[in-house]
Amino acid sequence: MKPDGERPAFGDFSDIPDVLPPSLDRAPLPLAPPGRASPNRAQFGQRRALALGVAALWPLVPLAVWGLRPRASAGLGFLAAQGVTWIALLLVAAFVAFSGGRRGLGRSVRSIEAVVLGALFSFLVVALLWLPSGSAGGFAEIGPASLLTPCVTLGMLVAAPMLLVAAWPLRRTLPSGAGWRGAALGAAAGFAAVLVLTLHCSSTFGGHVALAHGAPVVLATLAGAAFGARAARC
Amino acid sequence: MTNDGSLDRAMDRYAQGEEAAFSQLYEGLGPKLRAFLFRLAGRSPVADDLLQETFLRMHRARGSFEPGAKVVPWAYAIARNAWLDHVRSARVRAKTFEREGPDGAPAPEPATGPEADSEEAAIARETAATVQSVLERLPTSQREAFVLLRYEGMSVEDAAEILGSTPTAVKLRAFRAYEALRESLGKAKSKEPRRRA
Repeated sequence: MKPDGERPAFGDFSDIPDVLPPSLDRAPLPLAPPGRASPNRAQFGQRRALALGVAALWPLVPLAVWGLRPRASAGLGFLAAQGVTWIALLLVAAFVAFSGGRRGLGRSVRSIEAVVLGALFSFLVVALLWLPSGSAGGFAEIGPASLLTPCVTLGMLVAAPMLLVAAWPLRRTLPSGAGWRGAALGAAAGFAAVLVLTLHCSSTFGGHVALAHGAPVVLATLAGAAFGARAARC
Repeated sequence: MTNDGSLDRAMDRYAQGEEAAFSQLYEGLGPKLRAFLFRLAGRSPVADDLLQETFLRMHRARGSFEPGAKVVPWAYAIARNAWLDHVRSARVRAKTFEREGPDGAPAPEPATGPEADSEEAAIARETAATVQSVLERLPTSQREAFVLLRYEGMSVEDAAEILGSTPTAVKLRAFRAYEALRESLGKAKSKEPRRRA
């Protein structure tokens, strides 16, 4: 033991003895390889590519059913610029969710936290402040309340199946930071929903966009975090 | 002795579907993971069960092991998850059966070998039992951080990745555990001369 009052340099915990008993010096009992088949790397890669392909194509289905916003061609520049913004946020979130990091344990929790929270905050700022020119509605105005529910519903129709499909190959495969990686995946699905809503909904109220288009992002992020913590951890 | 580089290559082959690489992995990782799990769980039968569970989880997740990744931190993270799940299910069992008797604090591992009866061995056993009992009373987050840094020789950054936490949080948890252990060992040491007298 070090004398009282003497503090070691960090990491010097050598004055605490080991608890390992001598009986544990023996090699562990032999273990045969598990009999149950498990996907190898190639099979896992195929599953992931298939899931990502299906998830990426899925938003076209609700968009085809519900259609583009009226007079979409009039605000083409605005739609393209916002579309690129949502796609960029989607790709960044998906990248941190799937990236193996330096050691194969995923990106550091701090960086995933920063991306997820930063993306949600960026969405809020863009939704409230970046309105098409000549908007009737102003900053933080919600507009007709009856338009909120259809947008939230459509957003969830886009995000939920995407999240389910994209998450399928990740079951029991994330050894570390699974909750945050799941949240990043959920945020990516949420931004796909925002993209579809931007193309479909012609509301010019910043509050409507923040609330009705933002709700699917938040809900999908929370659902992704729950999935990660419960089902993706291995 | 198998080094980490050859273990990484063995895991890489196993991830590609080469079943024969399992025995090399088990031989190289088994003792390390078993010691780690014992330090967390405090009982060798539990550590042995968790070791099997860890290798089963590694088997199920092998396809997701990235080319060029390090198998040691990956396996430690999986072993830690297996232990956490064990702790959670033990808590559920304890709540369910809390009226059926004492919670059964683990007895210290029996000493074996020629030095088992010596005074030094007895003191070492007693100290180890004190450390183990303090470790078991600590929050799981502090226990795992301390075990990784003190006994497994991990850097703070490696431990943070394994625990899915930040380096600052890992440092704080490990240091709190260290303070608690130091205090308990100090108290035990101050009682010792009186007992002998």
